[in-house]
Amino acid sequence: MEQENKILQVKINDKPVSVQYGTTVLEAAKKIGVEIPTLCYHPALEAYGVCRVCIVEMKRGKRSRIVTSCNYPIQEDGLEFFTNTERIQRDRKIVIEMLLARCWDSPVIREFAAKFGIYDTDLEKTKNEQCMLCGLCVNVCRDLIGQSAITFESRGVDRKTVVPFHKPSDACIGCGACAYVCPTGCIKLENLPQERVIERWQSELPLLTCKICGKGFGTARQLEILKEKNPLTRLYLTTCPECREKELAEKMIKQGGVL
Amino acid sequence: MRFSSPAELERYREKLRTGYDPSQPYIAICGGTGCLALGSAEVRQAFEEAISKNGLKVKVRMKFTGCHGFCEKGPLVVIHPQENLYVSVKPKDVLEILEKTVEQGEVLENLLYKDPLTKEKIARESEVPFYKHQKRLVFGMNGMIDPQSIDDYIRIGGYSALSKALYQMSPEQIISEVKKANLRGRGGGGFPAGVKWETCREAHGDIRYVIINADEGDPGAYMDRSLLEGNPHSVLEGMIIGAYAIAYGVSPVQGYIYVRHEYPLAVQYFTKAVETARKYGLLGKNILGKEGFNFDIQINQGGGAFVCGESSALMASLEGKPGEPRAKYVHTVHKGIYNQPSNLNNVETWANVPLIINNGADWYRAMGTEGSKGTKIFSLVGKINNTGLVEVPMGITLREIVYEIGGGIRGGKKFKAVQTGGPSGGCIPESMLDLPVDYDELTKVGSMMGSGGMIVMDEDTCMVDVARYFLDFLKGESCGKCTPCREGIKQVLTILNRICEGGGEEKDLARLEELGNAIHDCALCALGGTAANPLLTTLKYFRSEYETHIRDKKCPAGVCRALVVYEIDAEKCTGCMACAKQCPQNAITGEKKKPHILDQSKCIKCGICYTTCKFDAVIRK
Repeated sequence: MEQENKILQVKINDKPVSVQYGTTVLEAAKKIGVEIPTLCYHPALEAYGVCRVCIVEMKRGKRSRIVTSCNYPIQEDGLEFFTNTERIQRDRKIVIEMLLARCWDSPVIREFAAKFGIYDTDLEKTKNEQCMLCGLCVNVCRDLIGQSAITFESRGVDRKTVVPFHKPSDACIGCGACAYVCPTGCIKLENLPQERVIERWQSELPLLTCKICGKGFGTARQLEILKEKNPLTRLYLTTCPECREKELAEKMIKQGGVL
Repeated sequence: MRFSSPAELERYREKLRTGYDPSQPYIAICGGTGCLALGSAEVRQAFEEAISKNGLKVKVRMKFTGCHGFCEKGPLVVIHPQENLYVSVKPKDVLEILEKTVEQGEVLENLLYKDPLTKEKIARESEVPFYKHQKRLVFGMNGMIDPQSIDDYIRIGGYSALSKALYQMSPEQIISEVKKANLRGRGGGGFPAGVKWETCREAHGDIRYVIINADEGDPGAYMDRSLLEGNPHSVLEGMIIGAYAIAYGVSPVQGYIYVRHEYPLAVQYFTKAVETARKYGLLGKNILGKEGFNFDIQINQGGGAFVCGESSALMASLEGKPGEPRAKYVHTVHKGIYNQPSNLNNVETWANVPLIINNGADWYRAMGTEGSKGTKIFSLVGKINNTGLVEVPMGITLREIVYEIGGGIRGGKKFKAVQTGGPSGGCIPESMLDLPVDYDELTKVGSMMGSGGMIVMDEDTCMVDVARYFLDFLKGESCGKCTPCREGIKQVLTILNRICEGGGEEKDLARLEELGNAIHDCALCALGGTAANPLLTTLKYFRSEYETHIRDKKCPAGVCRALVVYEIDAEKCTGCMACAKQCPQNAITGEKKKPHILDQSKCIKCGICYTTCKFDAVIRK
């Protein structure tokens, strides 16, 4: 469609920027060095747009509305965005306070809030909760890994990220992508000598050890799935990333800079 | 029988009409939800038994119809052609009705509706004030047809709009007619249907989907239910016309209805409507003989989540995914079900379409205000004399609805507020009762048209408690996806609970406003965005009630238990023991004919003594 190749002119905080049709406000802002705070955004995933921290005010003609910059696609010329108006500051502060009250026990969220001068809140605090329900773990597992081992349960304030039926999931391959993307660090991944444990999902998966250094580097299930999806050399399936790098580097040196 | 041309349909209609004598007595028993609950099925059975046992001197027709609207007075029975409305009919009344009214045309005074103001008994249905001030276009035929009979619908002119649309109008002409009529979405948003159809038609896609939103989840609202239960073919006909306008000549089209699982009768009747429409060639291949117009509809039952009434959540649910909304920065008319152009309209919106096609946009535009045309159905409930479903022309004032149609406040109490738009609507005070029913006017004052819930509140209603009630409902129905709706509603509720329990602080009001505004500004979907309406409007229009709760620790309406004290006025107390007998806590002691004593330490403030005392000796403070 011709429309999709169109270049559009918009303004962010009065600075003009030209972007391709469909570019998000967040991407456009990045292009011209305007920083917008985010929490649930991850560049590897389609924006889920739920934390609402990245809100901006959009002006179209005389009308103004609030949109989330991470997933608002610029589809027309002449839009103006403002990332730090009084209204945005006020609303963003409340949203951060809501998250702070929920994740009072999360050092990451407290540190994040502190950046906005919020050190405490009189809102009702939830105890022992570090998950902010950003959905990154669920989305990465479904959309990038293709396993859908974890999901949301219940709704409203009872919403939780869980393994279905609260039982260890066969679909979990122990890849650890969930732990990697989790912004609050509430998904803990631990490599024991023989197995990888992700306690939150009750996952315990046998670990393969590096044939060179003997360190555990990936679960058998993970490599099985990887093998199916990508043509990998034996080196990938038997050695840890560090040893693999070393091995490849040595090989390169031997071969005069080429592989 | 499959109609393969409009002429065949017309011939069939002619045949049905010839066999129908309008002067023959016709008994319409309301089988709507309200009347069923009040026992209309038993009334129907009594009629059937009486007729089969005794026979009748005259030939009669009897139908168990859809909702007539005046649910307050059910079970309703209307005897035609003289149009006598009998209210609160019991099985024991049936013999008399048959003998006197049906056979002899005599009116039974004791079964007529009595106007509580004039004390006058009114014989004709259309003369009853409840009906007199309405304009029943969409609902109008409910009393005249058996909702399970496609022949009844065809006889009264059904599917003539479809025939006109397919053979006398191009898809573009239909769209332009609906646009000109300015039919706006009756589900709450108020988006112009014609514009939606046009965008959907012009969007890029391999297939188009058209959907009936019948996921009516507002507590106390049952407009869509009553339409599906009363006149399912009118909704179906509207949708077939829409499918033609949106997709004919552009792409294949598939229809869906997303209907609440909790509406078994609606599901049953609509399913039957779809099945018979297929048999008659009104669904399926080459509809009504129109070459290349193929359309069918699949029935999907919702699992009971309020949020699934939101279009993107509904579509996710139709795809088999969790019913959660997504940002609609790219509209569903461009990318809806399976990322294909999808046009969703609410039940009532679809039911308006045949009327517009048959009568023209100019006729339709003649009703209503500048920005809102046609009629709107409301479910009028709460502390009002005449509860029920009412269909009114746009532009009618709230005052007319409450006092003329609704008959004013129950028990002679004072009006306090009316909430429009369902749980996330706003509460409108007395001073704004002359506001017209109009999408934009209602939004301006912080409420909304919504799907048509209208709850009337009297002086005994505590507005803080009302806000608390609706926020509690919304807390339970929030999908939990975005922060402001999930966390914000919970925090608002925490503060409201505290205020109602006497722990309110001066700073709470500003805090509630801040939270409410953030929910309004930042929530992901329209349900979240409007969730703060009950809070923000009560704060705006009934602020003094909040202040009394916070500063004086008193609930002026006497609803918030923690803020109420019951006392016995020794001078008025006759010592009748009635309150003492009723008290579940045995908190009231005393002897006969001597003033009783209420032990505050035992009192749980249930208010039973207050309502029991006939001498106003129990005082609520």
